Amino acid sequence: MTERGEVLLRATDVVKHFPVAAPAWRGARQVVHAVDGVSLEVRRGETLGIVGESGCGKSTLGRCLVRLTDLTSGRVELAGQDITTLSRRRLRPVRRDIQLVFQDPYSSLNPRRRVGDVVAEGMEVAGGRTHRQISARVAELFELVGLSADHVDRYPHEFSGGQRQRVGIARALAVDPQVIVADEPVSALDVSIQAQVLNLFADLQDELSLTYVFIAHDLGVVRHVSDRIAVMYLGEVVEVAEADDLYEAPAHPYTEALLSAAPEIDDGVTELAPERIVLVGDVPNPVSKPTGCPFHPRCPHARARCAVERPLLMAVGPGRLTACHYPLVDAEAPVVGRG
Amino acid sequence: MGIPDPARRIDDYPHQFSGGMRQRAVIAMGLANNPALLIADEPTTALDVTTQAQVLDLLRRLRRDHGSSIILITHDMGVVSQLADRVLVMYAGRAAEEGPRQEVFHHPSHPYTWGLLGSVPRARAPRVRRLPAIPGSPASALAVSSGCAFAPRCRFAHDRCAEQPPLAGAGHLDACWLPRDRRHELRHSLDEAAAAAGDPGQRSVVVPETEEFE
Repeated sequence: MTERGEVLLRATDVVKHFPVAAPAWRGARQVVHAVDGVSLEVRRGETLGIVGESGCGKSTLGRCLVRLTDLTSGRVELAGQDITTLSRRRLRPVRRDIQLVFQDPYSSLNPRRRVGDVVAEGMEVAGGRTHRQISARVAELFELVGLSADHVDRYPHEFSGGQRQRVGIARALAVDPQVIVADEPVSALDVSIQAQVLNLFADLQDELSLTYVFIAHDLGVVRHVSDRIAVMYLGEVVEVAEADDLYEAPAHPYTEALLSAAPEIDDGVTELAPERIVLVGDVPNPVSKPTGCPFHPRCPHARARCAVERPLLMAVGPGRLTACHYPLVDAEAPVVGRG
Repeated sequence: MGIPDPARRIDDYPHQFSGGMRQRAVIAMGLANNPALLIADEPTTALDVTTQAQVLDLLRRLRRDHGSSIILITHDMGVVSQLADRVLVMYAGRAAEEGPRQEVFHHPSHPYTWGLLGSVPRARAPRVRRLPAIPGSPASALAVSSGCAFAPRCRFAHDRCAEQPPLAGAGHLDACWLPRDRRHELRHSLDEAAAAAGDPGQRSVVVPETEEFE
């Protein structure tokens, strides 16, 4: 697997609230608590997976990490530099180091521009290359992501979904970033194409020593790509752990329920989960979050304390953190700092 | 149907329901007259995994309590594996493989089914760096070949595949010309090739020579 180095990307207590237009007679403005106090570290060369269901704030968090949206409060540091409040101009050199790959390969490429120009744009903005150097680099990038250099003059509609996502990846790679934040990059693709693109992500990481933040809702996909995984629920990180630890022994009851709900393929080889936990109810509205632990209204293990006191992310073992008053794993194991 | 406070919610409009509740409302419509057969076309595709688990439970209950038959149409191999008694695998408008669920999932016999199963990253199986993906893109419905439709993407395609294979077998059927006694070994070679070298979709794969099948 990949080598892991120092902390390259650090998020500290990131908060992002969106105001929602409330009917006038209700008076006070309401806010959606999209991301509600998230702290994470990503080490050089690793893949951090962020998993959660729709509306848990994982995409908004991804946009905060690359400063595509401004934070309500909190801090994001890239290689030690605080990028939270940088102006657009000061942010420009930072964008060379951190890039986003979008979910929807159909709407994230301008339909009226040739894909070669789309990929070249980042290099033109960054400057320092001649026109000829840029063309050569675009051709090289197309080959790198498994497209033909002959494709540069085509328009997005001439490509399939998987090919478009390859164009999106080439665009992100154009400025030689260190970190790629990929937001559901394979969820719009057919399963056979999804596997090809996942393999491409693995190959690129090996060849270019990239660091990934990989956001997805699919538990199989997240396990496949991630070294470590953060589980989100209602704008909060409820658990962070090494991928294998998380899947083998989840510490948070939400993680446990999420894993047990994923329909597994019984292929006669893989050991299946002993029992399935089916949660009652739906995910609460992030406008009016429950008090205490956000998961307590649906939690099969909830006790009185969970309704009043919000649990903080605490170490429950080597490299493991969970925000639960009554974690499912033994907290006696030695603590090895924040994950 | 598991919707809380039904007496009040029955007067709601669809936009007041969550995705899972809407899907449950649609299933309620389908069940209103106790049908003998329910055709569910991707009933959980737009749903989150915890909501999907609720809807799958509902379909199971229905089959048990009303004795309804279900045709479940889905791309999700996990959902099929959890719910189906029998499975039909389709490719480009044709049946590729058909059989009892356990036969098809434990001993898949068509190279397309191998690819489908290999493409799905598993939450519980040991982690692999590269998936044994299917090369190429899904066949266009405009130009389906006169031979085996999967042949252009099949690593084991050979001369015989120019002719369309019939769906054949006893109980567990498939439409493939490969010799049955070698299927297990051929499937295994795909996994090994994916693990051994880079992107299996892009790079050459060591598989048995196709002439061997002639």
